[in-house]
Amino acid sequence: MLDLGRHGGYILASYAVTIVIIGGIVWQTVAQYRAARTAIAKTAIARTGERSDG
Amino acid sequence: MTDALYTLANPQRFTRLTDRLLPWLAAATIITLVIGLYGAWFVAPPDYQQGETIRIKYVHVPAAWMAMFGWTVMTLSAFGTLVFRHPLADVAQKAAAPIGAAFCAVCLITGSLWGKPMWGTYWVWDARLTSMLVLLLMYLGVIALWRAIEEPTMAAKAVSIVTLVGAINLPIIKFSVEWWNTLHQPASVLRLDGPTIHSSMLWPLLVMGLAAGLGFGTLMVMRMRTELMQRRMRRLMLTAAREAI
Repeated sequence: MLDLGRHGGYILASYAVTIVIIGGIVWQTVAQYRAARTAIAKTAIARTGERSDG
Repeated sequence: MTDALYTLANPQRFTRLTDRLLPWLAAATIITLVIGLYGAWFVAPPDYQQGETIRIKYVHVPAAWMAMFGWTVMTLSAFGTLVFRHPLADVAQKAAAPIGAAFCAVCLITGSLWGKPMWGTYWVWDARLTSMLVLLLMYLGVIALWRAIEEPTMAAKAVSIVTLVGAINLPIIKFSVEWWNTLHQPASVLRLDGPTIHSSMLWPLLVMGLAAGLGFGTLMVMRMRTELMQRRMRRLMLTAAREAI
């Protein structure tokens, strides 16, 4: 196990903040992508019977 | 190059191409991230002055690179929107802004967390820190502008002008540590005379930078595809509304 020394809290906080912010943008991107895919597929099928994912 | 850009001008062709590209981009991001994190935590030695705190650098520096890269992508896209009227340029611009803003926020917060134990303060109004904060505010500004203007063509033009004006901040960020007497240290990787840090610290940093770049690319492609689908959805709904009248 790494000994991060007396500034370990700052190091761990930096990585935690990075995970939260980048995780947040990844989660938002994937959620919006899946929502758009589902919505357009439903609309396209309802309108024309066309099967499409974008 | 120009031919390739015009080949991609067709949104359907772009979607087909990225269908194949996206899984590879995502896989490459994960692989490089794992290698980079392993190097940053278990291979790179502690710094002789900063000790273990140097490990913050492995997220802070790639985040700074991506924050600036994001605005560079937006600047090129703004040029594509205003000059060439490339149909995907404004889509790329809209997709890059939130990703660049996220990396910019990471850069500022991790830099602040590094500054407290090393400088004795979380923040100073130093030229590098201030110009980076200005970049974050500009990112938030263009995101707000996209949301404020309903008509997409008008929004794209307004955002493009703001982006091109804001691009002046990029050289200011890069050269702030040379032009002014700053607390922030000068560049140690992207220098004309080569990097000044030891190879045992350099390669994990470069791999982390590559992971951040690939991650940026993956997210950008996904956001561009989402935007294209949302636009198509709006067109379908408008057509349906016209037919219903």
